Amino acid sequence: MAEELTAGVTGLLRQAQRGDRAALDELLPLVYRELRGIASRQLAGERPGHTLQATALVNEAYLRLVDQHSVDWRNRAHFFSIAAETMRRVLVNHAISRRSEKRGAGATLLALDEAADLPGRREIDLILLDEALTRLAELDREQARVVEMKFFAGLSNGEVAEVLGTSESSVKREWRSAKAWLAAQLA
Amino acid sequence: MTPDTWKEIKRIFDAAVELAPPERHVFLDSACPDPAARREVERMLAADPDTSLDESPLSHFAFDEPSRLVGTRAGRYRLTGEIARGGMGVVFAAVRDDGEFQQKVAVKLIKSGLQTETIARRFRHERQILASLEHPHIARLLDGGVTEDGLPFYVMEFVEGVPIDAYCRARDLSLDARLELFRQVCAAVSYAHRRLIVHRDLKPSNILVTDAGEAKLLDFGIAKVITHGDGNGGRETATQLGLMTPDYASPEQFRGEQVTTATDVYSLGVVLYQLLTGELPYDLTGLRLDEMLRLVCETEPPRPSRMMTGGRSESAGSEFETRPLEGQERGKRGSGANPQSLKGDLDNIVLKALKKEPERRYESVEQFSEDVRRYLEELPISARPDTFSYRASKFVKRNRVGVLAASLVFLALIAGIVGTTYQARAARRERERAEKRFEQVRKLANNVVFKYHDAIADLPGATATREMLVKDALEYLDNLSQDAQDNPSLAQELALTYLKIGNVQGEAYRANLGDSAGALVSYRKSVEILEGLVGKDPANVGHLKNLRQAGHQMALLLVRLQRWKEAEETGQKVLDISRRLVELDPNNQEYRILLVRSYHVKGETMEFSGGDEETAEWFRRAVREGEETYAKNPADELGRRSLATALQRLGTRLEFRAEHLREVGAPEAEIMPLYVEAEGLHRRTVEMSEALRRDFPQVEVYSRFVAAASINVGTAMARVGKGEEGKPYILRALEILRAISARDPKNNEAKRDVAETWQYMAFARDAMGQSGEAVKANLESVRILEEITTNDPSNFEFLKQTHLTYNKTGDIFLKQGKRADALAYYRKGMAYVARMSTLNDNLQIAVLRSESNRKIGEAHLAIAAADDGDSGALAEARAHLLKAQEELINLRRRNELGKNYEHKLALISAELEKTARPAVP
Repeated sequence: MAEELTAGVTGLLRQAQRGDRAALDELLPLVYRELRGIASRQLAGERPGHTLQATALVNEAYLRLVDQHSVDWRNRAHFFSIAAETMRRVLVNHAISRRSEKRGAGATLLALDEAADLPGRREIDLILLDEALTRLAELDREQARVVEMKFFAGLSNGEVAEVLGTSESSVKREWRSAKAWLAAQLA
Repeated sequence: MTPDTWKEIKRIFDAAVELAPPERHVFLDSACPDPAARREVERMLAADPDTSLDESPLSHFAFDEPSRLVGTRAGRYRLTGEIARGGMGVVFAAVRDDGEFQQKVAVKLIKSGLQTETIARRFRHERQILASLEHPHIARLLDGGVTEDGLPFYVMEFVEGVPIDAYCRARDLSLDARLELFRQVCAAVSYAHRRLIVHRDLKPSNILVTDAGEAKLLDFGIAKVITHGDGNGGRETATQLGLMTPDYASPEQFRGEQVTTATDVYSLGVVLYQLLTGELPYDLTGLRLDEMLRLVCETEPPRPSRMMTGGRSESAGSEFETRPLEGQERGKRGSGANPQSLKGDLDNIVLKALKKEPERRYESVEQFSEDVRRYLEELPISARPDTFSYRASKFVKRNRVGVLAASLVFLALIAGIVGTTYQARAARRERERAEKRFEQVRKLANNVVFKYHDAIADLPGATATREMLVKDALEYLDNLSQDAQDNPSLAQELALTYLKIGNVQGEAYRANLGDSAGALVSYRKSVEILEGLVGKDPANVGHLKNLRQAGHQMALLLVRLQRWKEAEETGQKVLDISRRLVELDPNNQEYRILLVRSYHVKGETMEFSGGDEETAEWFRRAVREGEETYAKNPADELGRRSLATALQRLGTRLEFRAEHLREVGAPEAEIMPLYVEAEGLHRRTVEMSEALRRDFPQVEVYSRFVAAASINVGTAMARVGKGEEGKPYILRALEILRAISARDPKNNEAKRDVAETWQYMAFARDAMGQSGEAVKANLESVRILEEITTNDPSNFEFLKQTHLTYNKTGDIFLKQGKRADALAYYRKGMAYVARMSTLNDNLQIAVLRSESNRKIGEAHLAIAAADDGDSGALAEARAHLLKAQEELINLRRRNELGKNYEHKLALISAELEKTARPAVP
């Protein structure tokens, strides 16, 4: 990772965090490209049932893109919140393409860890989850964002609260009802 | 749902989750009047992963500090000291305090999610019944009521003893002694069952053993009093379990279903498991309720013997345990249990009590106890391991609910078999046993691959499971084949199994795995084994027939893979074997029919090196052989069928040849006779098929024969300018195939047949110069095909057919001069190539893509020509034609281009010439 890029991303991240829309627009493609690169490297060797750690992927992207010394944890949270949506797209696209691949044409199983105390720590059909999450977003955008950040980027309640500018207990509440609803949808 | 209703639902949900489960529905009654919203909230509550046991029981201040209660009274009893505490409450030692007599008793203060009054009422109701239990191994219920603090309580006979598991451990009881003790417990439970009282909460802490070695059961029937009723659905589950120890709870208790005497059988099974192994069958520590439920309701516990040696990690596979326990081994068992002595009978006994389905457990505790007795006396027991079929059918059933979950169960099952195979090796010296294992594994492979594969084949998302299934089955077969050398019957089974697996992997016209390379490997293994068998026993016609069949399948696959050299060799082998069979027994009708089929195979494999002419020659031989066979025995159904097939195939081949000649611009005088001959052959096929259909009306395939043959006649006539005469034939086919499809509306293949018939209709109309009608027929076909490809998006053949139909529609438009329409339809055709290439990436696709590019190029050329050399269109045409050319040249370079495609290259070159012409000013 070129130092230049790292510095650039870090700066953009700071600006984005201050609400600079243009900085965010510049940042997103960088994050997306990086995530996709990491993901595809990891997914290339993937066998059916292979465990993929979404959080680890995002973390790797973060470490590569952002200069660790000049950002504090809020930057990290913000980065992750940006990465979450991207991660969701990367993973779901991958799941869809896998589904239609010649071999292994079943739904992609994804075992998630840490952040993934979603329904019963069992494998989630990502495509179904994505669809359900899209429906949830229609009902409550912010709640869907909570799920995205926690599920696809493994943010803590505190970090999500920071990003959304809300309280930790409210995140906790939203997360719980979202999980229950999604679990019911996926059941 | 609207965002507003969602907000409301969330609000109610947020409030409800804060409540103990039993309170939730009371709360919902008042807080949630809208039934739809309530349903949603209830679904969410049921699915809520965070509802854990810790949160569900009400905590009462009294239970935080039980010592505070010592010295207080419960009814006529004064509490003298705390004895124990558990999920249900706290147990105190107490004495009767009303001066009557000093009797030491146990008082249990109940902690329950239910309201005190409810418990008190229920207790009054049940007390008489419970008090009537008088058995030496049951602690008597003496009294019950509500304390002044408002806590429900009951009073039992005080038992000086320790829980049964601790007792066994402390005294290091021998296996036999443990079993005897367990039978005491069974006797007590059985006694209560005869009085229609179910314990519902059997566990070691409720089974005390006195110094004298007498077991005493506590808390009989109490669970029913202090929990919600049974069988009222899932809502009560959490409560019911929350107060109990989930370790001993049965699947039906987890699911909140009806509790019966079989529930006690299960819990006793867990207790016995623990007495034998020192471990619980499931480790539920730290799991949430939903996780426990999955574990207990969906997974098999490790066999007790396995648990003792390897622990949980080696679980599953229990069902293949036979009974290796020999007399001398049983004699040896002394102190405690050793894994050897648990193997076989005891494993089977415990696992039978632990069946998921109540009806598959012991019918009664008495029977359970009886099997234990029979084991002790070294008599045969009644419990048997599950058959594989049972397990697998269960697997399949679950599959219908969710393939995702079931695949894991299946893998666990598979892991078990691997273990068994390995064990089989270790026990090789016992030849008989080893062979039995072979038998099992063979059956497994057969069942897995054929029965269950087929059962789940049509389920959405089943492919991954099927793939694993095949992979695992192959693994066993590969292991087995090393041992099959000196066992011809096993070798034969293996060969046939490889053959069938090959079909599953690569079969062309079903939703198969599309793994042609894998299929080829399997076929090859099959052929190899069978060649070995034939080599050892050259006169064995069974082996010869099998080898012929395997070669037949392999040759056709090689043709599909365009591996021509191997295909030819294999085709020749197939023909040689069939000839040998006929030599061995010239009057055998079956062998003669096989010979006919082998000529077909030979013909197919010759297409590359011999071209249409030589290919047709082999099909001609097939017809000659078929005619001879038929003449010898004109009544024989299979002979008739075989000839009809041969006639049709030759006819079709002649048409291919004619079509090709027309494409390369051969004179009509050379082409026409072929079409005329083909028409005659097809007419004959219609006659023979009609006769078969008449004689065997119940065989649906003969209806399809008639339809196919009719289509062939209709199209052949259209080709020689007799379209109007041919049309009724195609209409007849349409009628037959529609009727078949209507009988089985979910069958995509049947729909495809109808769609295909429309294409023939389009072809005939087009040949008759009725291009408008032709387009209509094609669009009808496309309509049906689009429906099918939506139903079954991963079926290569369906996609291909759709692609071809779009191209044909484009062709007609182009001929009509509707160039823009033509281009649009060619592009739709190309889109289907793209869809196909996500499924498969073989040569066929390269050819199809090239064809699509060529057609798109041609449409652009036509546009350019009509527009006086529109340079944009010319550039487009050139780009597409170059792509088309490149693809074919690549194939030729790899020596993978069939002879018939050479002229396409020439065609493309000629068209490219046109694009190179400078634009007319």
